[in-house]
Amino acid sequence: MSPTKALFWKEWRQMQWRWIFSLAMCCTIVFVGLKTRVLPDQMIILFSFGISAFLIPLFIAMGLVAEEREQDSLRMQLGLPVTARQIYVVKMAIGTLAVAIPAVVCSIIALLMAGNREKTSVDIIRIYGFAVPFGIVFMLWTVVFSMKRKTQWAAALTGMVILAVWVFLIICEDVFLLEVGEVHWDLSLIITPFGFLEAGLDKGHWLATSIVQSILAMILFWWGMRRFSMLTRSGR
Amino acid sequence: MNTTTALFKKEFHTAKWVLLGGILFFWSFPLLEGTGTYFRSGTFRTDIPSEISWMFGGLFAIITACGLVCMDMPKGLYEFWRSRPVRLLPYMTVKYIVGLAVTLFVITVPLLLEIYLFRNADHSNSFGRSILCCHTFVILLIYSIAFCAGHLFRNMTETVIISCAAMLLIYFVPVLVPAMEPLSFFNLVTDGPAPNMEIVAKLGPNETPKSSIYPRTNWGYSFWGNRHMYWMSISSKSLLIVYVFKGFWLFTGTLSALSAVLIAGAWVCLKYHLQIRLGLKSLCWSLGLVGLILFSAAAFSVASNLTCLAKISLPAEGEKVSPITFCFDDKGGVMLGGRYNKSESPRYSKLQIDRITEEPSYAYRHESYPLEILLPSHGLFYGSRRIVWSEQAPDIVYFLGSTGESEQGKEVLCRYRLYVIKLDDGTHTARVLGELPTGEYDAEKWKYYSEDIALDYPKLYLRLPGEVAVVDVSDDKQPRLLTKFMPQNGPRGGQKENWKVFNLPSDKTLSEEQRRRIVRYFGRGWRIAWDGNRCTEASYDFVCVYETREISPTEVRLEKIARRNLLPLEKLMRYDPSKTILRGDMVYQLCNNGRLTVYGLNKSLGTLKNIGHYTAPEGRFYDMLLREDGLITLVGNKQIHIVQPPAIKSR
Repeated sequence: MSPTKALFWKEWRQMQWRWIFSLAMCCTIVFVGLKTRVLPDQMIILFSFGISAFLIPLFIAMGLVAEEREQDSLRMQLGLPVTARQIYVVKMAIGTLAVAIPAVVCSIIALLMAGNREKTSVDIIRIYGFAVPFGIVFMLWTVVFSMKRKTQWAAALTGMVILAVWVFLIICEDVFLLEVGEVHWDLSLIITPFGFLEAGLDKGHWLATSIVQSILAMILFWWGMRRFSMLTRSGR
Repeated sequence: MNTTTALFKKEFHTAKWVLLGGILFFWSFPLLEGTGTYFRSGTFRTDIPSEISWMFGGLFAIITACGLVCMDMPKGLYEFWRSRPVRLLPYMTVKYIVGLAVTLFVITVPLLLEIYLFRNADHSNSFGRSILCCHTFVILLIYSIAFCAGHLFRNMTETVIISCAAMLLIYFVPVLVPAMEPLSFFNLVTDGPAPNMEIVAKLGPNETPKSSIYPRTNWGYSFWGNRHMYWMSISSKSLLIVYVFKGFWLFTGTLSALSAVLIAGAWVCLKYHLQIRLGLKSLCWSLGLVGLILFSAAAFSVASNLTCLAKISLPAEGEKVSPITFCFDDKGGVMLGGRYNKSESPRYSKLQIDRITEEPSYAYRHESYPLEILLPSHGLFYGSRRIVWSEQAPDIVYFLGSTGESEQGKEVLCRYRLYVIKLDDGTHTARVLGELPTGEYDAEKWKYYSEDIALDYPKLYLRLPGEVAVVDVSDDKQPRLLTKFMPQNGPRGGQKENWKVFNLPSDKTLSEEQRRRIVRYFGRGWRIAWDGNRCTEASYDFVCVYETREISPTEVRLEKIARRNLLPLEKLMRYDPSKTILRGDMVYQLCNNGRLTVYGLNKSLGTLKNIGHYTAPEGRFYDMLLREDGLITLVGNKQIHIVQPPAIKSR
């Protein structure tokens, strides 16, 4: 087995239970909720969307670096014939999959059970389609900013602070309104991943958000890689 | 000081802060309420202890057990205690007893006080007694679980989380799993077995209608409605349990046995130094699974499970505004009344009668009868209120119109007018045949009024602010005001009026006045429905079915054959019943939040089981009709649904 494959295997084993837990929770809620119709379909879909866009990324981010720091197992990475960058890339790849798959599976269940019932299939796809990029970006931010946190709970707290700041920016949207010619740009939507929600509604905002968030994600990814390399080198 | 006394003293010192906190929480609220009642009405009464003890009693038991067990468990301290010349059994037993005593002392003392204060108040303290008798054993089990978990995990956080998860399962899983029903605390206080209560409705002219629920025996009475749980009673002051029903022994016996097993488990953990270290993974799975089980339980208990056969969206094609008032005609069709938007018509409200009738194979025909009714006032709220129809005058619709509220100086006035409207099927037009102003009311005075209209042809009953008007409509062109009277339960008694007449027993040997008197004995007549010699009574927290046993010129005896007290979850999801229909062994109930619930009667067990639910995501339903083919028509202002009733299972 090549070192990269071994890394993938190790990360998968480490994240396995979180991934299965997230998948089980999210899918069961969608399945039971849509089957019994205990609430309107929209509420069930939004509920599972909330879990897959906010809670699962936080939960996954807690386990990527902070768990290793908590268990003091980062120094073990030095013994592996791989670079810190490779470890980081593998971690983020597994994290991305772990965040995206529950949302995708939920969307498939929702489409099969309630597509064009109360909400159109396009609406359902749009909602879960927002959950995936939002979740990935949120996870990335949490991992990068909680890199130096020594416990999982501290990492979770960092993620919550990030989310609170984003929500605050959205609440203060009036401050970030920009008028360019006849077009009104809401910068709070663009600088936070909430702009992904505009998919299918406001093409301009959605496109601008995608571009800005992609650039931000690349910068964060690069910065996170540097921080991780430093952490691994120090062995703390 | 011997060892045991020293142990008691040590444990008491550990538990004293929990004890003080518990007393402060569990005793102060009842004292505050009682003091307030004393200053308001001169009697010291409270019913908070029963509520607070079942809501927070389990949590308090967990905190006490965790406090006592886990405080001694940190490394070093535990070794220190084990190094003392004390045997394990007394060490653990004293800990268990002190914790349990603290828990029960804090929880039961206010309960006993509540029962004592309500000793003369008929059956109104029955819930307190049920909590005392049944919930104490639930507390015992929860305490034992936390005690055992403390010895197993030896960590405060993990013990509290796992115990809370177990507590939720103890309360709610038996509600979900039919095989575990006997172990459900909620079922114990909700489903009643065999009946033992009867209502005696006095029909004599001088009898004052009042609630007159008597036990069949005069030496004791049942608790919580209809349980076979008798209390030694001396002049209706009853405090001691003499005999309790069979299910009680099963419930308490099982819970006590489980508690004993858990105590043994705690001893084994202590003796053999067993310890489980829970990580984030275990905690997540424990809490996640408990959450999922409870969510599923809630979903399958209250969500829609009846099939919708057909849907009609409203407003109908070509209409702009949804109807606000409905009635059913004799062919299962629905008549709808609409009005203009406020923005369109600030000076008058418009009534338009629509009729939706069923064609073969769930196709529907929509007929419109345009009509404009001008109400002579500038209302702040423009209302057409209710329409009503009778098959004895098939082409006539009665409409209670309102001017809405209009400010005139310091007064806010509203006026009502009754319209007799003729529908012409040939030309599809409607015209007003006769009108009757029914009064002017100060809306400030009657803040909680609601209008309604009921037809017992040729008499029409109008519920108006503070009074009921009876109108003779035998002459279509000149409706005549016969009388006005105050509803039985006071001028404001919006919820408790029992003036509706269409839910009277069908027994024709009784006069109308006698039939009305029977209904009045239930207190809330408008939630009563009759089917032959059976009737059902529904309220916010229970559903009952009675059977007529004996009718004489002076009194009617009704025996309660089944009762169901609603679960907290059901109360949360249902609100008050707005319409009840009894048909055979099924009780159909539409609630104020627009949900339909169907109960099945099991006469041999004396229970009413929840066998069907229906709710529509589009909006709430306001009225229902049980059709001759057994299907249910549900009407809301955004949709009409035809729903298949639950299959009748042989009982």
